[in-house]
Amino acid sequence: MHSHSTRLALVLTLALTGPLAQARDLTVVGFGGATQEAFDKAWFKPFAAQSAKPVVQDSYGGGLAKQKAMVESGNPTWDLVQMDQNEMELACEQGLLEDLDHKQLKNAPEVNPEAFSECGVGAFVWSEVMTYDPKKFGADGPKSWADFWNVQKWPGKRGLRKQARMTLEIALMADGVAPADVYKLLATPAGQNRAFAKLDQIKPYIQWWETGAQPLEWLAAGNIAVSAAYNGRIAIANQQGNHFPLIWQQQLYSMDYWTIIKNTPNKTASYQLLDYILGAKAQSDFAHAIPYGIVNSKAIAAMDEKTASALPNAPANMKDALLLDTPFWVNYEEDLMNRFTRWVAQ
Amino acid sequence: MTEARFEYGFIKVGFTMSVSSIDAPACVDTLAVAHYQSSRRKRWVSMLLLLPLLAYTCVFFALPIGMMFYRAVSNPELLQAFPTAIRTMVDEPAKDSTALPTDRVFDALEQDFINAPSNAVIGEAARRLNYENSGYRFLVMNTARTYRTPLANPESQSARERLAAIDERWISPQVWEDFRRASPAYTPYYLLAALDLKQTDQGVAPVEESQRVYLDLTFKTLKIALIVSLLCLLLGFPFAALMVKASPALQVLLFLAVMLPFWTSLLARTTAWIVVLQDKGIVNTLLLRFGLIDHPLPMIFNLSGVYIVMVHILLPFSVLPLYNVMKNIPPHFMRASASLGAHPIRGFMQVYLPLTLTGIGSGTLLTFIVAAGYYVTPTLVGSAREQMLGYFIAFYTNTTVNWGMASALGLVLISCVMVIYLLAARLVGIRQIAGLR
Amino acid sequence: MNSLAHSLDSSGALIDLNHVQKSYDGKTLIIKDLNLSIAQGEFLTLLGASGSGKTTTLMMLAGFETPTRGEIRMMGKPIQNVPAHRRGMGMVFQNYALFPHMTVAENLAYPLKMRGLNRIEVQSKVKRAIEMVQLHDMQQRRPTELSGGQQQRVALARAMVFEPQVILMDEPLGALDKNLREHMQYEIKQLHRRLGVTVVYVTHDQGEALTMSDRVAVFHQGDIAQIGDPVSLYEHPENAYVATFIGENNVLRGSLVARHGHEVEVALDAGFEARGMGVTMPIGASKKVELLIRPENIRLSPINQNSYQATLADRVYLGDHLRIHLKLDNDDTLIVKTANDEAIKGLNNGQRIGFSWRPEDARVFAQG
Repeated sequence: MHSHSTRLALVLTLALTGPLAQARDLTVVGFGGATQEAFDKAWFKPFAAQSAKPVVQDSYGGGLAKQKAMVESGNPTWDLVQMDQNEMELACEQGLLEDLDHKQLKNAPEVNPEAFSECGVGAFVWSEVMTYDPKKFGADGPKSWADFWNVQKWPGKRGLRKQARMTLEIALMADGVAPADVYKLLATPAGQNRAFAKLDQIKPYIQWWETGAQPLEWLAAGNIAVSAAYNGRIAIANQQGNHFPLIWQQQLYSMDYWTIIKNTPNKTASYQLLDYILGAKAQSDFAHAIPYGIVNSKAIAAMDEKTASALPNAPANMKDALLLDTPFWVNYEEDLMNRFTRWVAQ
Repeated sequence: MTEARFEYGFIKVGFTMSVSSIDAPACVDTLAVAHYQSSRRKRWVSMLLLLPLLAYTCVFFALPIGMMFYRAVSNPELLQAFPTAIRTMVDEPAKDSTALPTDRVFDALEQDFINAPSNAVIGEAARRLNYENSGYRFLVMNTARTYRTPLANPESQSARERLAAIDERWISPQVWEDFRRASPAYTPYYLLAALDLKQTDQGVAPVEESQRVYLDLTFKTLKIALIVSLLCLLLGFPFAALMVKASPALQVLLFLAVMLPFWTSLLARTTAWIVVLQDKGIVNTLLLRFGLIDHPLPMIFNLSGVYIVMVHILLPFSVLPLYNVMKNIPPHFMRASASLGAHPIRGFMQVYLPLTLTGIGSGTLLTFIVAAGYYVTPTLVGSAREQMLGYFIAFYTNTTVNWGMASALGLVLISCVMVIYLLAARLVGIRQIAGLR
Repeated sequence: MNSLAHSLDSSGALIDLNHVQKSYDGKTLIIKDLNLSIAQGEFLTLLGASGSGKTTTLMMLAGFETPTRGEIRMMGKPIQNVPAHRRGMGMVFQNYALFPHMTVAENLAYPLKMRGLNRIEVQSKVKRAIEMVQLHDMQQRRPTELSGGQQQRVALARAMVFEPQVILMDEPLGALDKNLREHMQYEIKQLHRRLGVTVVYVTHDQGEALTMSDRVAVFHQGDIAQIGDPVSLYEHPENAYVATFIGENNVLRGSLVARHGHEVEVALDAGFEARGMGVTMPIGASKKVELLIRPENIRLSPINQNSYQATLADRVYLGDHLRIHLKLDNDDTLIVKTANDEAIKGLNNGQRIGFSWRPEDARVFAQG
């Protein structure tokens, strides 16, 4: 009865505010920024041209609220949506997403099987790496997360993303924990305490960022000296004339996913676009547009050396790399986020 | 007189009053009836004119707030996923809180997993149970995944043994205590959590120190909002006075200046402030060049950044009510004060200031209320310390979809604002704040 | 200001304005060259149309405006640089300026508190002031809860409660209706007599000026056109402006024919010759003059050799008297105010009628 009244209210609200449900164009939603520009260039524009059907784009900052509202009201306005792995798992559990039907995807056999999940397929592999201001340190910059903590040798402010996820992993790796042991430790109170204690050491030096573009702007402006940043963002900044090094050592990587909103009227069109995205040529185009890892094995095999070496999942870059443990974060995120926020505010 | 019966409660009130006045003494009865009948038509029309507003208020004001209250206490997730298990637990309570439930409860739980109406229902229950203890989400989801394939040999073991085989935690008393606490249809969990409290066997107790966030955050939010509204008052008062005195052309210019932040996009405005205030920014560069400082002053990504940028955007909320009040204070009041022998400063304190009290009250309160709900700006220009309650409301609403927690925090914020409003109403007078006097 | 006798100068004037000029923009003078002495205890009215400079003069006295040139002395000491709050003058404003957030009693106590009086003194003075203006039951009310007349009385009481030597009043009765205004005129006059305070009163209402004042200064374009007691202003205006501004006057243009001492003969453009008292005479070759005669001084009669002639154009019935419009032969209109008697009732519009005046009632000025 709870959801009955809420649903009624939601329907009422949406009926009064939103447009009435009707045939609408295929709507893809990403996280915006440079990545979505690459999507558009490599995937959406060519698909729209090929299929002669318009592709409408929207962007959001993550989170499940919109998806939940539109599925509960029975009036989905999005179709194909980019989600990080955490949120995809949560949305999948809560029934906000279509179960992925491999039969609808002709290109599925070419795709790395690890990229498939119950409710989504990998869009790309991204990575958080260390970078620094070459004007300050030249070639002799910090090389590991342990160096990141060394503010005597490499003075200046540090940029880190303001969230528990990835920050705690970085802290443990800086404290000498091997990537393979990070999550085992982080699941224990002792490990959590150890991560926070490590963060305490450089707390006054940290400038927290929230959006992927911020750390590179701040590096360019000289506000910070060393930062964690997304590899794609660094590459884009370097295309614009900067020379920020990418320190692949101990990179943290994960995959973002394409998901289809439950009960969307554009299910067929969504699968068609998804199939196009997974094709070898489209995948290769994307990796050239922005150096994030791709999932089509054929495309990976055919890639030129220069492009391949810039991807997070290039073998040379995978040394000591840490794959983000999504099940861990699904269980611990709220707990650790609370503690992190409290710690950060102290 | 019977026509006065209405479907809508709120309209009924006005009518009941007039009806009861008619019923009173018999001698005025005919006059009262005539009066009532003659004014009835008029009232009908005015009711009809008000109807759209009432409907609007209900749908977009009362309903969301009502839903927020409801969400803050509603707790249906476990009941929906495990209805029979919970019913059985109520029918056959365990001997004490440390004991495991009876076998029939395990049987029922197993049946609930097998008969789950959808994955989503189990997912919701997993999310809810995870609030009690991190890790329960995995416990529930993993168990559900196992039961999605038919059981190999259901006869050989009991449901309790099968569940324990999937995850040992199913036979831990702690899990069942948490399960029991999370199962009622309504729960104080969210509201308590929003106040850094929790339910234990002994009653309500503060949460562990490492988990305490919200009370601190509430105070910090109120403190930032208070300082911002006082700064707005301090800057806005002379500004509004200047606007009143200025020539019409200058007045337009000043008005534009104060309204400008309203018409600029949040990101453009924030970026502009970063450019101005950062270490290599305009202000620091100038100060360094003139030798006023040795090294750049940190003015952004800290508390001062939050105050500067929030005061900038919220200034109109202070200035406009003040301007409105000051505009209506005739200049001859200050002259009268001087002619009566008061020094301009005393005249200002005893005559001008009291007359602007309405504007000060409503402007500052308005600024305070808006400031208390801010979170994007503090996030962009403050350091991590300047987190406000609104950030968490957005976090729970959007990121983790924990709407119970978001609603409870929303209620905390609304309650604080209401308390402040009532205090101000007591001090300044509610009619004055509303601008009715 | 304590030792009154010491500081009073020989002329006995309380306030002197010497060659005072005032300009707001540095180009035009609002006050051209003002010389004015205000005697201790007198009721002086500054009368004039709007823009004549009367209010500016009052504001300079009060200290809200400073003279551009010249000086203002009070009891011999220059005060043009003394700020308003230290001049010790009471002031009554056009809209009373009662403080809306204070009760009547608090409004009255305000100037006393500003002067640092103790509570008991304040209370007793407030009590007396309230008795003076008969507002016993209103002490605890707010100004907005009072009628216009009551507010006016509070404003008066507040301006007097601290016993200033001078009270300035800026059109204080302008907002009241006619009956109340007349009543308040009387009350103000009574208070003035009883307390012996000096009053400088600004108004544009000549009736008010004539009834209340000891002296009236008629302001015209930044100058005083004439200053004097009400009778001399009305009956012996020194220039055509004052003559027309105070009371009603018919203005007949003509040229000077002859002078017989004070009495002059004027050939009017209306086509007849008339006599009047010469006040100012044209200079040089010009003979142009104006003859002014008040409507109540014209007598109507049957046409005879001692009368002039005109056509009866209209009659306006005003209860106790009639206003007759006569059309002269050059189409000018002459207004006659006459008693409402039977002889007039018999006349018809368009009929020729005789009229005349005594030469001592008509005043002749050079045309300006």
